[in-house]
Amino acid sequence: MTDNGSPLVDVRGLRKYFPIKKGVLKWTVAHIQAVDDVDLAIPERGCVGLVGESGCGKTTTGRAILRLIEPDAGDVFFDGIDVVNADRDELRRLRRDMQIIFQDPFSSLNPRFTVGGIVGEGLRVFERDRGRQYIRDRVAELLRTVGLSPDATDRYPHEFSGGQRQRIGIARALALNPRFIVCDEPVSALDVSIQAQVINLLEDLQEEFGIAYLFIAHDLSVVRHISDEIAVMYLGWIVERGPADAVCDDPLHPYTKALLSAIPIPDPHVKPDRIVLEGDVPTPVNPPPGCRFCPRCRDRDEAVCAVEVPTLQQVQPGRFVRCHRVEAGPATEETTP
Amino acid sequence: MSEAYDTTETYEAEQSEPVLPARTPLQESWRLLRQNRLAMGGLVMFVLFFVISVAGVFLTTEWHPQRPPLMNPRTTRLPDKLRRPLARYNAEALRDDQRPLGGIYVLGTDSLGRDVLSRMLQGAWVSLTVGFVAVGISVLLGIVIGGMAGYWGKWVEMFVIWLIDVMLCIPRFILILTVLALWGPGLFRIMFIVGLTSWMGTARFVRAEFLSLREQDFVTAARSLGASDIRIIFRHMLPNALAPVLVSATIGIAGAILLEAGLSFLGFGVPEPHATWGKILDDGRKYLFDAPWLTFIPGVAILIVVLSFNLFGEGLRDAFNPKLREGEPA
Repeated sequence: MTDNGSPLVDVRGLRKYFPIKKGVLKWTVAHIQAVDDVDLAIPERGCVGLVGESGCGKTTTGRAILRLIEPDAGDVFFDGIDVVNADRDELRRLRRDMQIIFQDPFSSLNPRFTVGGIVGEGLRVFERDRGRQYIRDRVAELLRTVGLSPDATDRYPHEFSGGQRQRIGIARALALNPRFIVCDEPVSALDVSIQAQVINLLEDLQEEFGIAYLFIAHDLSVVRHISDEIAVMYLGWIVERGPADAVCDDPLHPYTKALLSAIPIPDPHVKPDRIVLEGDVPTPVNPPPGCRFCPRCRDRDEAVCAVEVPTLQQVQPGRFVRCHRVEAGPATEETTP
Repeated sequence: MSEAYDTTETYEAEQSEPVLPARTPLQESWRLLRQNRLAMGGLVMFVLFFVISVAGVFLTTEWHPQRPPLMNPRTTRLPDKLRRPLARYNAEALRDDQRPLGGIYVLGTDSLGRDVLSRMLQGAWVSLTVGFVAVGISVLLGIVIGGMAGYWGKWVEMFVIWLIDVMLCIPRFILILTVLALWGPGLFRIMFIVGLTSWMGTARFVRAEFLSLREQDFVTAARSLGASDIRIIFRHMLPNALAPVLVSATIGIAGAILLEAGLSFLGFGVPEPHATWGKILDDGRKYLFDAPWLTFIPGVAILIVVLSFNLFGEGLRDAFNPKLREGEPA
C-alpha cells in the first residue's frame, strides 16, 4: 500500500498542549506547549531519528503518534488509516502494528509479571484462542530473537541487568509483529558498551522484519548511525529535517550546529570548536514570540527573528529548516499547511 | 533467526554475569517479616485465634436436636453461678446434662452459671467473622472506588474525594448505632454496616497508588499492547497496589473486632442468647468486684487479638517497604 511513495506513518501538524490547572476550581491558567505543529514522515522499513534536548517534546511526540497521549490537533495516518480519529475497535487493531520501546528498563517492566508474562501479554490480548502452548513457544522464540535464553521465561524482571531488561522490552514490542516501533530513547539509560549491542540488535531486527522506526534520542551520533533521516526538535518545534548524513555534515539551522558541536571528539589533542548556547531553554509555558530559538541564537536578527514566527521551509531538495536566517535554495517550497 | 548477531557472543557473557539472587519480591518480604519478632508473634496469635474460633464453632454448635453440643454455652446452672476459674462443678446440685466438659469450669461461670469458656469460644467466631467479612466488604469497596478514582481521574476522582470527605465527617459509631436501632440488631447487619462505613482509608490508599502507577511505563506498554481498561486495572495495576491495602486491612480487622465488641457492650450486638466477647464483658461489669474474671477474660482476649492484628499489620507494612530491602534498588 505504501509502495506508491506515501509514507507508512504520516504526521501532519501534530500539536499537544498540556493544561496547567490551579486553585480549588482547577481553572486552566496556562498551557505547556509541549508539541507544536510537528510534521514527520516515516517510510516503510525506514528510520527517522528525532533529536533534541530534554523537555523539547520528543517523547510527547512519540506517544501522541501512537495515541498513548491524545493529541490536541493534527493528523496521524498509519498506512492511510486515520489514527487520531480511530474509534476503539479500529485503534485496537492498529495497536498490533504500532509498538513502543521505552527509555527506562526498570519502570517499563511490571515487577509482578514473569518475563513470559511481560513478553506474552500482547499475545494473550490478541491471540488468546491459539492456546497456552503456542504463546509459550512464541515467547521462547522472541527471547531467542533478542538474544536472551528461553530459560528467562519464568523469571522476574528484577533478576536481570539493565541491558537484558531492555531486550525483554524489545521482545515485548516485537511480539505482535509490528510494522512500526517508536523507540523512545531506548539506549540512553544503558552503559556505552551495552548501547552498541542494543542498537545493533535494533538494526538487525529492522532488516529481518522490515520494521519502521521513529528513533528518539538526545545523542546525535547514536541517531546518525541508525537513521535515514533526522529531525531536530527545539521547544516543541521541528527546526530542521533532512537526510541523516546531510544534517550531520552540513547543518543549516543554528541550533543543529550547536548540537553537533557538542558531540565529544575522542581525541585529546583536538580542541573542539564548541558553540556554547547562552542561557537556558525558555519555558514552554510561555515560549518567546517569533522564533522560539531566537533568544539563544548566534545568528539572530532581532528585527525579524524576535517578531515573526518562521515556518518549516524546504531550502534544498529534501532539507527543511525553520529559520529566517537560512537562505532558501532554488527549490523553495512552502510546506506548512 | 539464521543470522548470528554480533550481540549473541556478548549474550553468553551477559548470561554468565551473576544475576541478583533469584528471590521473588514476595519471598523477600517473607524473609523480612520473619526477622520481626513482634510481627511473627502477631501472626502466631492470629493463627491460634483462627484455630480456636473454628474449633469453638464445632464445640458449641448444636448440630442435631437430640445431641447437645460438647460445650453448651446456653446451659444455665443457678447453683453454680459466679464460680471461679478452674472450679470443679457441683455434682450433687446439677443434672448430668448440665455437667461442663471435663467437670471443670476452666474460665469460671457467670451470673447464670453459664460456662464462660464455652461462651468465649462461641464469641470468638463472631469476632472472627465480623472482622473478616466487614473488612472484606470495606476492602472490596475501597479497591473499586479508589481504583476508579485513580485510573479515570477527572470528575470521577473529584466525586470520590468528596464522598470520602463526607463519609469521614460522619461519626461512625453514632451512625452504626442509629442504623441498628432502626433496623434491629443482627450479626450480618453489623458486618454489612461496619464494612459500608470503613472503606475510605482503603479507597485513599488505592487511589494514591493508582495515580502513581498510571504514569509508569509498564502501564503505558500494556495500553500500547491493546489491553482493555479492565485488564490493565486488574492484571497490571492492582497487584502492584495491593501491599498497602493488605496492611491496612489487617489493622482494619482489629478495628472491626473492637467496634463489634463496643456495639455488643452497649447491647446493639448479636441478639441473645448468642454470646459475644463484648456482651460477656457487659454482663460481667455488674460483678466486677465479686467475679473480676468475668470482665478480665473477655477484656484480655480482645486486647490480645487486637494487639496481635495490629503488630502483624505493622510488620507487614515494614516487610513490604522497599527501602528495607537488600540488593534491589526498589
